[in-house]
Amino acid sequence: MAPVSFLVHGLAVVQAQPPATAQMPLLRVVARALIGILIAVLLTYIVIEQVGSWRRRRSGRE
Amino acid sequence: MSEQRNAIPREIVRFTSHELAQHWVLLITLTVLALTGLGLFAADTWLGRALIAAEGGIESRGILHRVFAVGLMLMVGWHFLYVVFTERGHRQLMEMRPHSRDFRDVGALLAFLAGRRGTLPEFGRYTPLQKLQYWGAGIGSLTMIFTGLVLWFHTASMMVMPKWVFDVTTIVHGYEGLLLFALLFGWHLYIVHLSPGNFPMQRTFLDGRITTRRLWSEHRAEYRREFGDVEPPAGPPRDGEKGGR
Repeated sequence: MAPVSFLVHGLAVVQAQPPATAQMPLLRVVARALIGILIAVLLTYIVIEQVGSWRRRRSGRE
Repeated sequence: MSEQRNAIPREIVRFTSHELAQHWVLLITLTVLALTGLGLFAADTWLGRALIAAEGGIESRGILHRVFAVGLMLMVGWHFLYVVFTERGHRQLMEMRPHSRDFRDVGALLAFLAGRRGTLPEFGRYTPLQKLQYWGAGIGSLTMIFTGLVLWFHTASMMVMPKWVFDVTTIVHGYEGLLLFALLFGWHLYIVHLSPGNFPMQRTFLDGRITTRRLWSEHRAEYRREFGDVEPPAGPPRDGEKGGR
């Protein structure tokens, strides 16, 4: 049988830990930030290409 | 010189019917998985409710998702056998290996796209962006399969892993799905069909063919391996081609 002091201390440690689901908002924020960064990179790529294409068309006309 | 040039075909086969079939299966399974997954992911929004209703309710949505998940698993197994045990498939996999040169080429490619460089770098069979899409879709699919299996067989998985791993898996499966959706249905679709020089549609995914002129401008190193330094013959443009990535 475990000594009483261990049980009390162990219980305190367990109670001090937030439940697993309480840590999830942070993970969700990180996941959303990563997706936001990826979408920003993809949009930047598209803008760069469209600007380049416009430049080529313009220099072709001149 | 002009005789040599005339001996070069106007079009060649880039992807075999076997490879096109794999692409079709992947396209269909990932599309259905994305739509049925998005329904659950955004279940408390109008879009999620509309998707679930279109899929015949929450239960049939789940069945559809699992049926097509099995389809994706079979597809991944099929592709694995193809690249490991067939000569052509293995060659494709070797061509897909990332090289340090790819990182340098991305800079030159961006300079070309921005209009600050006249020609594309001399790419081999696959450009750095094509490699990125292949490995992104491959690693993404494997992650989705692993996390999906954990969620599907949740009772068994909870017997061998702690609850927090299960919680993390739930979040990873949802957001990784969204990431894959953005990568394939946003970026891949744009690069292949909607970008300048390809709009409104590049037909290679339908018939597996490419013009030697496009090969010359976009995969110069591969062209040189096949036909040497002789330029390809001029011909009617296909798929609005003017050069791309």
